[in-house]
Amino acid sequence: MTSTPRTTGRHRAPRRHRWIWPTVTALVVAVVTAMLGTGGTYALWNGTASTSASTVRSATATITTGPLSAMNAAVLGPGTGVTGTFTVQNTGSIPLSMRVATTSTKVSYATNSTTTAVLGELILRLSVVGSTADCRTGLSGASGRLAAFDTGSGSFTLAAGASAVGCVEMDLDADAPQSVAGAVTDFALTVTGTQVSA
Amino acid sequence: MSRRLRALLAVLLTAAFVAGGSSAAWALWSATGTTASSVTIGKTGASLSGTSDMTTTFSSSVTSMTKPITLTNSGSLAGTATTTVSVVSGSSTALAQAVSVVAWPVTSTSACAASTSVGTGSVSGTWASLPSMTSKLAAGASAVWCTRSTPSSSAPASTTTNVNVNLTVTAGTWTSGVVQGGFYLNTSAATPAFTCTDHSGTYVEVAWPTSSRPKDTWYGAFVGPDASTMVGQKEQDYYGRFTLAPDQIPANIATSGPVTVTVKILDSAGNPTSTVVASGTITLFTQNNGKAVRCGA
Repeated sequence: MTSTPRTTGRHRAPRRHRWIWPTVTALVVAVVTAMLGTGGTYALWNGTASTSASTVRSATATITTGPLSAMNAAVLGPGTGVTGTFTVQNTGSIPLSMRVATTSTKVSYATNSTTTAVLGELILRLSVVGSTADCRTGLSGASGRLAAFDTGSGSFTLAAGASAVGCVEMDLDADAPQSVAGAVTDFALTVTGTQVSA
Repeated sequence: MSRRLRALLAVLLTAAFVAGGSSAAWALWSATGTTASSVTIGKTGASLSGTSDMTTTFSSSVTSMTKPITLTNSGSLAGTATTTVSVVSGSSTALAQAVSVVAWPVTSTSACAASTSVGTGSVSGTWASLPSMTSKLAAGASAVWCTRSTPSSSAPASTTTNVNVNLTVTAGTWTSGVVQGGFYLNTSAATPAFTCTDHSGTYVEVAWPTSSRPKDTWYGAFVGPDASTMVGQKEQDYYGRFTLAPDQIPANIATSGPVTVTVKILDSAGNPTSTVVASGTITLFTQNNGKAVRCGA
């Protein structure tokens, strides 16, 4: 009995995923190497010494914001402004970069106008002054429509423990229509202190 | 994917994982606080008072009128008060034009009397055209202007005019709207002129027209503001005239020049009534280094 030699070869195994193994191997080697690089030398000879006891504390980021002084002792007329002050203190342990923005408004007694129209005539200005007595109209600083006021980050910086006096000026446009007369606007400012990045 | 490309990918992934895994966390700490306040937009407003007390009938015995007008900023904004005057349609513009006006600011209504001298900051004109009585006023504040109205000799008799004073308070581009206050000015029937006779500058005789009144009616001759100062002796219709010498005209009324003399009926107590029977002018002058008087202006 004779056999007939095969005229065709076996099917070769697919090569589609053979690259994975070298890649995984390389990753493992690299990670292990990196971890070894962060450890000790594994020398067998060791010496030890103790330091005095110490405490490690985490830094803190906190601020305290004082009330904004009354700004309705005087009324607004076309082209005039009123001022108020508030204090902000960095009560944490790291320097903070400050940002001030309007977070709420409420318009009342706008009997001849709309809330939007009233807010469209009010401009808020913010500057940092040395004391409340230094706060007056006409100071330079960040400004914008009341409803959209935002100094952006980095308006000013407070070192740990430091405080600042914010001078808030509210102006009524000189060309404001008389229909906004009598309106009362309540507003809130949010002061945000963010850790100064290294 | 070629072998070289796969090897390169493996190296890059390794580098990214190792580098990324060794970096620090990137979160920044922050804290917030809130503060709030309120602002009020003011209003304009105006009010006017005193004009209703200015209604007057001018006559030979009422020759001027001095009354205060109070301008008030009734708004919550400081502003400037300005005024205009106008004659109501249908009333006599001629009379309004014939009444001269001088107005000046005073501290209070009580500081405005017939005897008060014209103060600084005065404006003058007629009730047909008077410059603004302008005052800067804080919110809620008032300004008092004293007005003195004097009809001219050409003012038409038996005539009425209705005058409005219009007040506006302005704050920037805002105005209060116009507030009006009105009054009437009247003139009485023309007063008869007296008959005057000269006596060489020594004295004059002033005779009033005869009438149907009882002969024992008493009359007086008056001079000065509102014809309030009696001069000479009171007389009756039996005599029918006054004799006036230069020295009988008080120095505080006049020492020289024309003097208006008004003849009024007196009541039983000897006080003047509002009834004027005649008026006219005499003139004080100097003659032979002495005081003298003559008839006419």
